[in-house]
Amino acid sequence: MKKCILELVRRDYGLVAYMKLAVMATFAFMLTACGGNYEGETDEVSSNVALGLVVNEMGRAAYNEQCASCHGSAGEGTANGPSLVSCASCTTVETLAARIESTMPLNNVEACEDECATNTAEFILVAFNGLLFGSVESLATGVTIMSPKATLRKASLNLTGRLPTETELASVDSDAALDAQLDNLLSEDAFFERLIEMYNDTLLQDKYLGSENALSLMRDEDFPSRRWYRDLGLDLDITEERDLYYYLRAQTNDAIAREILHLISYVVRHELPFTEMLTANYTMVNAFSARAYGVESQLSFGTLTEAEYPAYPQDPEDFQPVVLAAIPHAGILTSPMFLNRFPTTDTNRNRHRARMVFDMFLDTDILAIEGTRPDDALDLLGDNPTLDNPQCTVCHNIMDPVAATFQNWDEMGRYRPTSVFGDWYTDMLARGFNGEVMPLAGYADASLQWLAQQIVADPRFARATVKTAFKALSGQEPLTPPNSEADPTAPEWQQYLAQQNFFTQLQTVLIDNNWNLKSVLKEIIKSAYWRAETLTLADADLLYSEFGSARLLTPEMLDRKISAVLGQDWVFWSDRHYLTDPSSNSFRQLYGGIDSDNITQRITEPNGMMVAVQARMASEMGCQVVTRDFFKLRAERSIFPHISIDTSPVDADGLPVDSAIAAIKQNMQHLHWTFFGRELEANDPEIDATFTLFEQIREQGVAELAREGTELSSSLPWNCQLYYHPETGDVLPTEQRIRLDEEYLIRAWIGVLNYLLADYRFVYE
Amino acid sequence: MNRRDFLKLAASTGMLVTAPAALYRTTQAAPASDQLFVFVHAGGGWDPTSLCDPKGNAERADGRGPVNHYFTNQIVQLAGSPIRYAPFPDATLTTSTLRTDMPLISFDDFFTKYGSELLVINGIDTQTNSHSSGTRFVWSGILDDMGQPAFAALYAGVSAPTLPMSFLSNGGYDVTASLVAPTRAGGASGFQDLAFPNRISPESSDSTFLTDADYQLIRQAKAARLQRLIDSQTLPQVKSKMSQLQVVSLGDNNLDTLVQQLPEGGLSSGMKGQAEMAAAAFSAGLAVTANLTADSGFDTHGDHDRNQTNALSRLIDGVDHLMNELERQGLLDITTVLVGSDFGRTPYYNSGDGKDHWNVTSILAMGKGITGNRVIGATDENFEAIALNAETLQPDANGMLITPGHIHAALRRLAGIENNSITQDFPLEEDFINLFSV
Repeated sequence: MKKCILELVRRDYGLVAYMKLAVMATFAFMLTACGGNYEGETDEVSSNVALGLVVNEMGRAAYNEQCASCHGSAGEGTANGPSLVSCASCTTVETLAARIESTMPLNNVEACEDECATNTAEFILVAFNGLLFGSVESLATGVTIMSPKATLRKASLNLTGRLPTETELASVDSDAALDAQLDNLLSEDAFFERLIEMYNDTLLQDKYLGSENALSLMRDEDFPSRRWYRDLGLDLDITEERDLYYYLRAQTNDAIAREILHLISYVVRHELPFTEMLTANYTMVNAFSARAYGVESQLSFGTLTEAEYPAYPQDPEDFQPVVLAAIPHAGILTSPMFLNRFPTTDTNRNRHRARMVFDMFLDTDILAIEGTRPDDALDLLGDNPTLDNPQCTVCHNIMDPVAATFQNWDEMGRYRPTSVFGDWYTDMLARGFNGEVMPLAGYADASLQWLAQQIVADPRFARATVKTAFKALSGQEPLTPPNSEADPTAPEWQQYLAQQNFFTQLQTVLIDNNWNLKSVLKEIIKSAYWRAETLTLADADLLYSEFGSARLLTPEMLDRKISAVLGQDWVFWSDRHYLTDPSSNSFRQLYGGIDSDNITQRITEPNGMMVAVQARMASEMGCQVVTRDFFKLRAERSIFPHISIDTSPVDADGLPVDSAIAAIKQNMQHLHWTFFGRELEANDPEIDATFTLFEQIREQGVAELAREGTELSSSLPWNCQLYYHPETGDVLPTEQRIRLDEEYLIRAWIGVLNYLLADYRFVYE
Repeated sequence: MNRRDFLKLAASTGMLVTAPAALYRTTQAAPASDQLFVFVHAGGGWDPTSLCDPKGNAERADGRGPVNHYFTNQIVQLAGSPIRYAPFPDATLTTSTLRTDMPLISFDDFFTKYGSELLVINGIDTQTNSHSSGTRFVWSGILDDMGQPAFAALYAGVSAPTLPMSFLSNGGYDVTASLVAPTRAGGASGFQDLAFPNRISPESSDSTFLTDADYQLIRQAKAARLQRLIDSQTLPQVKSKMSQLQVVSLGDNNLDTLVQQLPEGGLSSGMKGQAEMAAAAFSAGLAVTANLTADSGFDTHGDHDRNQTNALSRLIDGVDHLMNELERQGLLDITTVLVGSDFGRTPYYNSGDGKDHWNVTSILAMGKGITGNRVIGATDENFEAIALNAETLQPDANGMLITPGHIHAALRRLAGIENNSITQDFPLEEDFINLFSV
C-alpha cells in the first residue's frame, strides 16, 4: 500500500513531495522493524523479489559520464571533487539539482541542466545517500524479527554482559517497553566498559595499559609529577609498600592510557553531543592521573566504601573532566595518547595523523582515493612532489592541510605552540580543511580546535559515527559500494542502497537527538539488521545477506557470557580469565582477539584452533559448574532452578517418572533460553534431542557402573567434585561435599552442558 | 571442492544433511601437501641497500649525500655468485640493542650458508610508499584494495580450505576474502590443553572430564544439532556463519600431532617461535601456508644505520631459524620461503640520520621451485629501479619494471593455482615472467 501511495504522490505532486513521503516510508520501515510483527509474515513469495528500489538510469549515465571522474565512481570523492555522501546540498532533489545546474560540471556548467540536473541529483541521492524511491518497507516484510524479550536478552548480553532479570523480561511486552529497558541498559556501568571496548577497537589505546607504558610517553618538562608515586618514598623491599606502589602506578598509568576512551564514555554517559569527542575543551582524569597532570587540587573524587589502601580511598573509576592549563584541548585529538598511537616523524609531517582523522571521523579512506598510480617509480626527487606532482597531489591536497593543523603538537604528542616554537614547513599546504584555509586569528596556536569544529560540521562525521556504531555493535562491516557498472536492480546494489538508507536515517536520529549516541545504538538494536530472525521470502538470499546479525563472539564477549550464564568465570590460576588475560598463557589472541599493538584486527571467522578453545571451555566449565550450582539453594541457581541433584527420570526399578521427566525438560527449556535465547516448548525437537543425549549418557554410565570388572568409578572425576565452598573457598564439611554420582545423573548433566556450551548459539549471538 | 564452493553448497542445497560423516578425515602426522609456503614480512619497510642491494657511500650527484654510510669497498661479493650484500654492521652499531648472550647469524654466514639456494630479486617497484598499500601489494600482488586475499590465504583456500589451521597468520597482510579462516597461533602456551579437550590434565590420558564413550556421544549430538540448525536456518548470513563453524569443526583437529612436533621446552619468542609453530603445523599436516612477521624496527625514520641493521640482523637470524626448523621437520624440499617488506627506504638520509619511505624494494626467495645463486632485477646507483627485458631479465630501457604483481604471477604458477577459478576472481595486472626457476 505504501508503495502505491508513493507512486501516486510522485505522479500527482511531484518529486519533492514524493521524496518527503519516501523518507517517511523509510521511517515506517524502521518502525516496522521496531514495532512488532515478530510473529512474522508467513507468505512465501516465489522468486525474483521485486522491491522496486530504483536508481535513475539517466542520472546514473550522466553521473558516470560527467561527474564520476572527480567525485569518484561511488561518490566517495577525490582530490578534484568532494564526497557526495551526505554532502551539504544532498538534502533534496531540488536543492541538489539547483546546485548541479548552476555549478556543475566545473569546466562546462551548461552541460547538465534541467532534466539532466534533476536526474543526476536523483541518482546521487538514491545511490550515495540512501534516499530510496522504492518500497523500502517490503524489505521489512521479508523477515520476521525477534520478540522484544529475545531482543532484550541479546542486547543485554552485548551491552552489559549480563542476562536480563526476570522482572526486566516480564516488563518488555511491547517495543515501547523494550525502549525503556534499553535506556536502562545504556545507563549501566557495564555498558560504559563495553563502550570503551568498542571504541578501543578503532582507537587502539589499550596498547598503553600496564607498567608505565602510557606515562613513559610523557615528558617531565611538561608534566613533572607524571610519576608522582615514585616520590612517596615507598620501600619496594617491603611487601605492603611495594603493593601500594604498584597499585598507584597501575591506576595512574591506565587512567592516562585510556583517557580518550573515558572521554567518549563521559560524553555518552552524560548524553552530551557526541561531537564533544573532538571538540571537548577538557581531558579526563581520575584521582590518580590527576596527580600526574598536577590538577588534583581542582577536583574532588568519590571514594570506595572498602578501599584496599585507606590512604588512597579514591575510586579509580571516577573520571572527571579537567582543563589542563595552557592546553587548547580538542577532545581526543589533543591527547598525548592519541597523538602517540598515531605517530608522525619529521618527514611524515603529521600525514599519518591526518589520514587517521579522515578514516576514523570522516568516513573517508584517503588511500582508496589515490587515483591512478604511475607505471614508473614515483618521482620523489622533484622540487616538491607533494605540491607539484599530480600523482602526489591527488592525495596530498586533501591530506596535507589537515596534517598541518597538527603542527602545534610534536611527534611525541607534546604541545608546542607555533608562536613559541616557530613556524611550520613552508613547502607544504597551509592549515585548512575541505578547501578552506584556516583563519590564523585565534587559531594559530590552537589549530586542532578549528579542525575539530570543521570535522563535526561536516556531514561525513555523522556518517562515520553511525557506521562505527553499527560495526561495533553488530560486528558487521558496512557494505562497500557495488560496481558502478552493475545492474542497479541487482540484489547487491539494492541491499547496498537499503543499508545506505539505514545509515542516513541513523544520522537523522543522531542529529535530532542532540547527537546522543545512545539514540543510534537503540535504533540499531531495534532494526531488522539486528533483529531479523527468519527470512520468509524465497530466492532472496543476496538481498537479505546483511539481515540478522550473527557475530562470532569476541573473546571478551564470550568471557562475559560464560560468567553471566553459568555464574562462574572461566579462569586459570584462580583469577586470570582464559579469554581476556593479556599474558601468553591465555587464549585471547588464539581466539581472535587483539592486543591493540601488533595485532589490531579481530578474527571474525572461526578456525580449528578456536573450535578447540570452545571445546576446552565446554569441558572445563561443564565439569566445574554442575556441582557448584546444585550446591546453591534452588532459588539462587542459574543453571538448575527446576530440579534437584537427585532428580532422576527413572525410579529404582528403571521405570519412567513422568513428573521428574517433566522437571528435567523444564530445566532444559530454561537452559535453551539462558544459553541461546530460544523459548522452546517442552515438546520441541531440540528439547527432545537434549533429553535424549541426557538419557544416552546416563544409561550408558549406569550400565557401565553395573558391569562386572568395570573401571568406572561411582565418584565424579576429581575436578568435577565440590570440595570447597563456591563463594568462600573454604573446605566444606564432609557431608556437604559433592563427590559421588552413583546414578550417573551429575555426569549426564555435565555432558549436556558440554553439548550446549560449544554450540553455535552459545559462541555466536 | 574449495571452501567457498563448499559453503555455497552448504547454504544453498542442504548438502550437509548427508555429507558430514563422509567429510570427516583423519589427519596423519605428515604434511598435507607437497607444496608449502612461508612468507616472512619485515613490517615497516626494510632497506635493501643495507642487505641485498648494497650501494655504498659514494656521494650522489644531486648533493643528497650517499645512499649508505658504509664504504663501497666493504660490499661483499659472494664467491662464485652474482649475489652481493652489505657488510655486516660494525659492532658499535649493534651492541646497544642486540643480545650478546644469543649471538645472531652474521650476514657473511647467512649468505654463505644459503647463497646456493637463494634467489635475490632487486628493483621491485611497489608503486607506493604507504605502509598498508605496500604490504598489500607485496603479499597479494594487487596494489588497490579490492579485498583480495594474501597469497598465503589464496593458496590455503584453494588447496586445503578445511584443514584446521590451513593458513597460519602472525600478522602482516592476512586478508582472506573468506576463502579460509586465518589462525593466529602465535606463542600461545596452552596447546596441550586444546589438543586434549576431554583430559583434565593433558599429560594424563587416564584422567578425563567425561568417559571417552560419553564424549563421543556428545560430539555426535553436537554435529547433529549443528546440521539441524543449518537445515532450518533461512537468513543467509546466519546460515553462512553456521556453515563456517561446521567446516572447521569437522573431524578431529589433531592438535595432539602438532604438540608432538613442537620443540621440547616450548616455543621461542618472536619470529623464531612463529617459525617453530609453522614448521610443526606443516609437519602435523594441519597447515599449508604461514605468514611470519619479523620482529619490528624496520621503519627507521631516525638513526637508520643502527636501527635498520639491528632489525635486519634479527630478521636473517629468524630466517635461518626457520630454515633450520623446516629441515628438522623434513620439510625443506617441499616448502617455498619468501622474505619481503612493505617497500624500501630512501637512497639518502634525512636530517635525523634516518631514511624515509621509498617505493623500490627487494624479495628473497628460497626453497621448492626456486633456482638459487641468482640475482634478478637491478637498481641504479641512486636505488632507482631499472627496467628489464621480460624474456632475458636483463636491463632494457624499453623493458618493464618488476612489480609485486610479477612475483605473484610466478607464485601462482609455482603453486599450480593460476588457472583456478577462485584465483581468477583476483586477476593480476602483470603477466607471467619466469622469475623463480631456470
